Amino acid sequence: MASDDGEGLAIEVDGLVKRFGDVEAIAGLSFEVRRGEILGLLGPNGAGKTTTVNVLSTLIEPDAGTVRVDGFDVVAESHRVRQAISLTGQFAAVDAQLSGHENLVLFARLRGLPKGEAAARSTELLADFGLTDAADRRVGEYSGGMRRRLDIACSLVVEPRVLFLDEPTTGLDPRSRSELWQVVRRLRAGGITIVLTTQYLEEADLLADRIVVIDEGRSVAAGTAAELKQATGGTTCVVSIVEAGRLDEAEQLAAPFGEVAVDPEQGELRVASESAIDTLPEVIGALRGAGITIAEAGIRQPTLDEVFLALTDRSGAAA
Amino acid sequence: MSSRPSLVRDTTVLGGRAIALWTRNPASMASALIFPIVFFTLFNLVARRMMTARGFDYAQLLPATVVVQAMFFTAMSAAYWVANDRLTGMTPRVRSMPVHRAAPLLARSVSEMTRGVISVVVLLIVGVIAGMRFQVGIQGALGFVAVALVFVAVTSMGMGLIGAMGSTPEAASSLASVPYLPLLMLSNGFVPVEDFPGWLQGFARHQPVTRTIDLMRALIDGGPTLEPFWWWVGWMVVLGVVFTVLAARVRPVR
Repeated sequence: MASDDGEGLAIEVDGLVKRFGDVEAIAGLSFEVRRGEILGLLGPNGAGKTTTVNVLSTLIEPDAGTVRVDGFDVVAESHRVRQAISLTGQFAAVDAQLSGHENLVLFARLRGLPKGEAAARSTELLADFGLTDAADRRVGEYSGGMRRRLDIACSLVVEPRVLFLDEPTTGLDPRSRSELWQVVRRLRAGGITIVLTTQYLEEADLLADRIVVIDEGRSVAAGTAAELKQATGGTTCVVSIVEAGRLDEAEQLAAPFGEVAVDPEQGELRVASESAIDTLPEVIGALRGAGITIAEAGIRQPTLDEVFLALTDRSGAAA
Repeated sequence: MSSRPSLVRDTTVLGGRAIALWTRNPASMASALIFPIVFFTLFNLVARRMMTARGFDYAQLLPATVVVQAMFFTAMSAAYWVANDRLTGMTPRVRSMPVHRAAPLLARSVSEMTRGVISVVVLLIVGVIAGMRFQVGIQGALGFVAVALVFVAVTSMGMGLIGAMGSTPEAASSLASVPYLPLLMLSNGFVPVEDFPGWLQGFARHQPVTRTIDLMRALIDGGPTLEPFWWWVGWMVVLGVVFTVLAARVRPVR
C-alpha cells in the first residue's frame, strides 16, 4: 500500500527548479494537491506546464526542490511513483496501426495483467468509453475525440492513484471536448486524483477543484476559480438600455456609482464597483428616474480569461 | 503492488508490439524481402567477372557483404521507429509506467532481428542459387545466421540512439544512413583491404563491419574461424555495452 500521510496529500511540490541549459523552465514552483482533487495547471504555451508534469511523472529529474507523488519521492523512489501514476501526454500516445482493443491489451500487459485479464479489462474499458463498436478497427481510422478517449482509457487499465492529463482537449472540436469533460468528471466521481494542464480557462473553470496559474515557470496565483476571480477584481453590473441614442446620458447618470464603460454595439453599460449587488439597484433607479427604458440588467463575474490576463500581464499592459 | 518489473515479460510484450507494427506495414515487409535480392543480383552482375578474373570465388564472397548490408537496412528502421515513438508520446508513456528500464531497447532489437531473419534466409537461398556452398555444412550455415542476427541486434541499438536524436522519424532516417555508407564502403565487403590506400588499410581491416564479414566468410568457407570470431565478439560486446550505457542516458522527453 502507498503511504497515507496525515495531511491527505497526493502531490507535494516544494521549490521545484528545472533548467534546460541556461533556460530556467521551472523557477521555484510550489503547490500541493489533495487526494481525490482535480488540480488545474493553467498557463500559456511555454509556461512550464508540461515540464512540471514530466518531473511529476519521473520522466525528468528536478534540478532543485522536492517533489512527492502519492507519498513517494520522484527521484529516490521513482519506481514506486510509477506504480501509482498514469500519464496521458499531450499527444494521444496510441498506435495507429493497432486496433483499440490491441492498444488496451498492450498497456494492460505492461501493467502486469495476464493475457485473459488484460483482454477482459480492455472490453470493459471500451464499453465505458463508448468505443465498443470501434474495438477492432485500426486506431488510424478513429476521430480525434475517439483517439483521445482511447488514450485516457489506456491510462486506466489499472486504476492509478494519480492521473496526469496534459492538455487533453488541445486540438479537439467542441463536441469532442465536451465529451472529454464528461469523462474527466466521471473520473473525479471515482475518486482519482487528477492533475490537468490546460491553456483553456473555460476548461480549468469547469473541471478543476483548484487552479494553479503558472507563467514563466512560477506560480502566479492559486485557488478555486471563484477565489481567483474574486482576487482580480470585483463583480460588474451590466445594464442594457432600449434607446441606443441615450447611452451617453445613461453613462453620466451611472458615473457616481462606479467606474463606467460603454459598449455601443450591445447598447450596454458596465459599472464596476466594490459591491455590485448594492450598485445595481442604484443604477437602475437613476436610469428609470430619467425615463430611460432598461432592456436587461444583471451582475457578471469576471471571466477566467480576464483573471488570467490580469495575472500574467507583465509588460503587456504598459505597451 | 511493489513487485519489480519483469524484463522478460516487458520485452515480450513490447517486442510483440514492434513486430505487429512492422508486419502490418507493407513497405517494411517489401524492403526486408526485395532489397536484398535486388542488391545481390546487381552486384553479382556488375562485379562477378572482374572478381573472377582476379582469382576470387565471388559466389563465396558476395553473400556475407549483402547480408551485412541487409542487416544495416534492417537496423536503420530502428532509428525511424524510435523517433516515431518519441514523437507520438509512446516513449514517455512507457517510461512513466513500471516497465523494466531495459525492455524498450531490447524489444527494439528483438523486433529488428525478426525482420533480419527473413532477409538472411532469403539471401541464403539466392546465394545458393548463385553457387555459394557452406563447406562445413549446417553448422556453418547456423553460425552464419547467428552472426547476422547478433550484428543486426547491436546495430539496431546504435540506430535507436540515432533515432532519439532526430526531431522527426524522417530526419532520424536520414541521420541513420550516415554511418552506413562509410562503414560498408570502407570494409572488405566489395574490394579486398589491400586495394585501399595505405593510410586507410588499418581502419578498413579492423573496423566492425570488416570483422563481421571476415567471420561470415570463414563460416561459409569452413575456417579458420577462431581469430575472426574473437575480433567479432570483441566488437559486438564493446558496441553493445557502449550503446546500452548511452541509451540509459537518453531522456525520454526532449
